Amino acid sequence: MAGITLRLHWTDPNGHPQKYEDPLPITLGRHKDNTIQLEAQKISRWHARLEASDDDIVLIDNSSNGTLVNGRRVGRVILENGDAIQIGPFIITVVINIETITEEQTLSDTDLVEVTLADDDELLSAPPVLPSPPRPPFPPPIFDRALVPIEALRAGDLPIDETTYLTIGGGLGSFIWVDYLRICGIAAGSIVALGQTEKPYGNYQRLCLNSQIKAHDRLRSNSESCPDNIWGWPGYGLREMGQALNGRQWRRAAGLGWQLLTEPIFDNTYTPRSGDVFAAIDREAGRIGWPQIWRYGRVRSIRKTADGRYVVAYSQTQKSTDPIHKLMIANYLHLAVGYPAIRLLPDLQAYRQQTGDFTHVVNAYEPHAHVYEQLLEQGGAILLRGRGIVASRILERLYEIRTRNPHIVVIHLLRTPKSAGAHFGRAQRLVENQWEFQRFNWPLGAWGGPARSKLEHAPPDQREKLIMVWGGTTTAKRKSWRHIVQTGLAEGWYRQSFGAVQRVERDEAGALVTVIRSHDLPQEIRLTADAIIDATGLISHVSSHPLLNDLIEYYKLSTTAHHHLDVAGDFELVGLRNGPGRIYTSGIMAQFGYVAIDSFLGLNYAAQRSVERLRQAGAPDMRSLNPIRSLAQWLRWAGGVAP
Amino acid sequence: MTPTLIGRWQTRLLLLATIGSLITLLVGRSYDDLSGSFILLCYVLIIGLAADVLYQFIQSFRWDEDWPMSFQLLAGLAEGVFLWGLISLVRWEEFGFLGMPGVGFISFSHFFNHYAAVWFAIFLVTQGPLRVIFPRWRFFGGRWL
Repeated sequence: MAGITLRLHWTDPNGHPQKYEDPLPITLGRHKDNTIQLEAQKISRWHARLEASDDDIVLIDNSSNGTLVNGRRVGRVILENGDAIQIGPFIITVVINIETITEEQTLSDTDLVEVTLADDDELLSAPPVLPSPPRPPFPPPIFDRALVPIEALRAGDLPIDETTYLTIGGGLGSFIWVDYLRICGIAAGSIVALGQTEKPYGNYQRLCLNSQIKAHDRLRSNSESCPDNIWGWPGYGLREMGQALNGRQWRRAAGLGWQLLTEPIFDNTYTPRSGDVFAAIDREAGRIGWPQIWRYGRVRSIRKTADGRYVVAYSQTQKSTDPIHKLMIANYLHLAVGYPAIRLLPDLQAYRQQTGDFTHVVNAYEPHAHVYEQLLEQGGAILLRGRGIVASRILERLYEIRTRNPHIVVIHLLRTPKSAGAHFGRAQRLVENQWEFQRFNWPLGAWGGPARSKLEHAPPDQREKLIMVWGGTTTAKRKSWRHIVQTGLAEGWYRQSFGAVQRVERDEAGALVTVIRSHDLPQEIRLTADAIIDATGLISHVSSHPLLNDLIEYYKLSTTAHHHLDVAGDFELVGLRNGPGRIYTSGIMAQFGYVAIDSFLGLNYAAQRSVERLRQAGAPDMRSLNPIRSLAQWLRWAGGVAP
Repeated sequence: MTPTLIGRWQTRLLLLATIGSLITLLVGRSYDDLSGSFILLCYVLIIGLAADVLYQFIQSFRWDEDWPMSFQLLAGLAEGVFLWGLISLVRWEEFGFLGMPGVGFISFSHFFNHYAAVWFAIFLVTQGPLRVIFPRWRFFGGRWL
């Protein structure tokens, strides 16, 4: 059995060296219930937390004055061996070690406590590392220069690779961009994608699974929004119908045909099953040579080079002790890094900070299967926050569990009642039992129709208004969900409460209480539940992303009122242009360029625009996607032949 | 794809000028009335361009500014019925007219076969294959220029 051990070293205010090892999670702060109590000014009561996440150890800052890792302020960061955490006056050195132990083996002279993160017998045992020698700084000091001379990089010890096209993120945004490049004639050998998950949908799938969308569950995405097919035809609906016909499932095929012909008026909007989308991406990944293009790497910093390119400092440190640091030089960069973090409502964040209880108060995007397991066994009350698509799915999941254990109650806490849906022009959104419906996260026309055209021509203040009206929290109008809400309300096991949360606390009996105040009642209301699920979303604040934040600060890039990147209509970060070199972006951080970007189709559009612009700018070997090439490439797609 | 009015017009013009003309050529030859067939195609275009304004207006009452795919088929049926009605009405002798210019005495079978073939081909092409040759089309409300 292999385990990862974590050890922390620091010096107390009296100059005495301190050492700590403990299973994760570890909390640090002023409060005496912390795993490590640190007493000094400017340290929060629950300042920071170290926990296991997949195969990594992550630090999450909860403080008001901030936590620095290697001199940079961080929100959530993956720790590596040798990192220096700074909390107030304390500098804490991290020692991470992997070793193989047997379960019977007792802790001996090394007195390390093992934190088992993975049962991976293939991992080689490494000798225990005692206080690690100081390692050379990374990114190298030459990254302090605005234009890094190539010769200086070559003079250093770090391995350097070169490529023409480099995409950072390695998720769906990167994948679709690479797909376009390949279809426009760029060889797989000229493209590199750096990311942390081997599958381009790895991160997306994790968020789906955590928020209870399994392979057979349907996404909130259009039939023709296909990350595996830039043309969007045939869409997932037709393909699913084809599968049914192949399997001689006539009724199913007819049902799908009817749905595709009559959605959304006479039937639910067709949406694909997540498993089908992932399988299609796997197929396309194989076709375009993604395994050859993708490399594991966490990008730490990006700088312009003196020769009109970019240099990227990245770490490949995974499960080994020795840090692997490398550099890559590229002519054209693409940033598709996704959401930097999960957002927790402020009152829940405060509760977690005060109590260190991460088990009973969870975000729907975090792993929280334990909540459902406990409900299934013991029943109980769940307090649900949020009224979007994730909240709908969580409610459906609770309904499924309730069919096996009826002793479950769901309290849905909403800030204010909603009597009417947003309206625009002659149209209005439907509200039913406090849930507001919209097929996708924007009106359909925002992707390419009238809504999109209005947005593009609107003056800035009008644009903000349109975004407010068309965005907002909505869920999909699925028959099953509407039925669950109606039944739950009628049977009394699902109820809704309205009010602003004052605080979340544990009462004397140990129950989890949400104290709310409603505007029409003088007294506070106390809602008791066994667990709280926050289904309100993800953080899209650009400064929460260390890499982007570094770029913004270093090159003085402007950001938007919504804290996104200020991108041009072709998704270029114009402030980072370096002679012929260009940096494009995609995903939620580039929402300023296209409101509906945070969708499969939006990523497709961003890739199309930026690749087209690269060709116009004279990027080497890039072919125009004219009708003839487009048709020829589609035929290759259909035949499963490499582009 | 939810089209804009300009997009609808451009798509209609493009498809009638290409696929529409090709079918018109075939049908016109078989009925031995090439000029009448092309004039009919022009009427189809004019009615279609006007109908697009109506469709756009109707869809503006819908939040997502679209309607089911089947409505698109029915809209084609409605346009056909309207055009045939117009042709029949205008050649009614009591009205004192001699028929719509160029297509005054077109037979129903000629009209039906021609119109149905053109409309169905265009419907099928807009539902998919058009995107295969114009990958930008769906992001610009149906504009191809």
